[in-house]
Amino acid sequence: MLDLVSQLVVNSLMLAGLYTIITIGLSLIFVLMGILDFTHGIKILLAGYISFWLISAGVHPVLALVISVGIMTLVGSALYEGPVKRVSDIHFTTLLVTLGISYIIEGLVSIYQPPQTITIDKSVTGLTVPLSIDIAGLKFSTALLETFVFSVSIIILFQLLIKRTMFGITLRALIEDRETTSLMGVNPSTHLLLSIAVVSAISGVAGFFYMRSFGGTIGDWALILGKAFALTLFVGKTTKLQTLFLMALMLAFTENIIGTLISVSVKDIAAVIVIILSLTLKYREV
Amino acid sequence: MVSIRTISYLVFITALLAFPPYFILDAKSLFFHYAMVYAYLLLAAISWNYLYTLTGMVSLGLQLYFGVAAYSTALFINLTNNVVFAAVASLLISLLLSFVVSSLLIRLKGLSFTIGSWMFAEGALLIMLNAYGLGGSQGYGIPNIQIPVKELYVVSIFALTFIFLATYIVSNGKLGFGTRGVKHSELLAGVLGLNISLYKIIALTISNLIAAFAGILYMLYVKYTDPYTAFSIMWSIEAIIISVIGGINTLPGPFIGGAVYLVIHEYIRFLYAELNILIAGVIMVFFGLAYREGIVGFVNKSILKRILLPVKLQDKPA
Repeated sequence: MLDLVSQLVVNSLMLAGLYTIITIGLSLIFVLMGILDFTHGIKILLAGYISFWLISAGVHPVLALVISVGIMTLVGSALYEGPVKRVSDIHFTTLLVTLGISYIIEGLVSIYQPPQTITIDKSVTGLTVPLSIDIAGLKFSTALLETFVFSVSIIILFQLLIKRTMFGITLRALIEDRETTSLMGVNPSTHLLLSIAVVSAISGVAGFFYMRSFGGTIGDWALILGKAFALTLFVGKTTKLQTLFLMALMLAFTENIIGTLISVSVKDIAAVIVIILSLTLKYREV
Repeated sequence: MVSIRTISYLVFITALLAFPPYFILDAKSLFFHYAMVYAYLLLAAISWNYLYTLTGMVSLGLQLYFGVAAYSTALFINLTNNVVFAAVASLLISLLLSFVVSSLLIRLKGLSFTIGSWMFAEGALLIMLNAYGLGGSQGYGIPNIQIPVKELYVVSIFALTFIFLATYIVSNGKLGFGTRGVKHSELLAGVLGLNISLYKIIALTISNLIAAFAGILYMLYVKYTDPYTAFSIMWSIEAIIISVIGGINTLPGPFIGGAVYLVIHEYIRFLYAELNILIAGVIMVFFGLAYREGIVGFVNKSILKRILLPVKLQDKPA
């Protein structure tokens, strides 16, 4: 029994790391611009697909990760500077345009890639990595362990960026009072664009590790987005990643416990119930 | 209020649309196929547009009621072999579900509401995928019953007219003004003594029942569905697209948008089925960026207004 609980906690911790880096981008855009970006889910999966295509074409996984992060930085920045910025002041139009962009990307990917689950595993990478390793009597999935290490590194780096750098301090000042910060000579547009580039890069990493840990189809963006939305709304307008991580841990633990005790096929139902409860019990107005 | 003369005109036009095709055309005519697709797409759009116009709430969850009604219609038909009973029972189930879900959703505002409504529908989709008694992911249908398409067409046309008239009367009656009051300022509406939650629940329930009726028509016409189709977010997306093409916040918007979208939808379905999602995205981005007021907004601004648009616009689009 103790082994089962320990295994559940370990698996949930690792999954929470992934959920946190999936949500960081959406959360920061929400804090900075007050909008919920519906392109977030598709950007994560697009990054996963780009990595998969590159690795399938013979590119080394690490290089594929770097390239997909670079591409996502460009895509995210271009989408922000292009259509998203133009409509960000009207909620319904933002929803319409960002959802439209998501469908355009899904449509384009569907033309190129048949609708089947893809995974970045050894059949694609050609690397012989064990599926799991045993540490102190607990089983660690290699893919989830890699994901956890990268996720924690990104969370720490992101916190350092926000707390210790001039860019981060300026960003926090913009969140507190954009008008006064602008009067002090800060260009909000440049800082917004830079932060969009940063969170798009993080989405690129999240996409790679989502495909590495679970795999999926391009249509999965809706559920990813739903989870990221719920976490963002529940945490609210804050840059404190520890709160986000705790919420992600709760979601991951619920999914894992349902998946283990009942059935893997109903764990997504549990996730949706957690999302609905998070939204309705802790009322948020956006 | 709507005068008896207007109602008479509407009934006459409805009869004109319903009966000549019924008597002249063959049941296998493509006209009936297009008319039925138009009917359930239009109902979905009216459902979405009604809620947005009255409350300002953007729902992405009308597929919940569409899917539940479609499935329960099939289930009751298989149990009782009675189409009318199945339709009424499905509406009652949707009504009950709507009360429960709406009571939770009205706590949310803005995009929180949008996401909440969407998540309820996603939850239903996941539950139906695991409901093996109703076919699970394989789907469920009514293979043993014959429903003549011509009769279904006539019923759909009259039902559409009734729903159009009912939403018009409700929108311009006490309930409509009260709900609009809540939309503009909940604080003021509360001070004036309006029961905010009740107005929201009623508006949501009317909208959800229209979506449920679309689901019933869909099941009666197509006779088979699966969770991925019945609970697809595309029903909400298509409803938004139709409303946006025609002009949101307007009564004739969905009718015009529905006709335009039907042409695009069927053309793509026959020639480039795999481009369906892509085209939907392009339409959303185009109308969101460049053409926010839709066709009715364009006509309303131009000199064509007097010729083409007898129904007064109620509100400026967002």
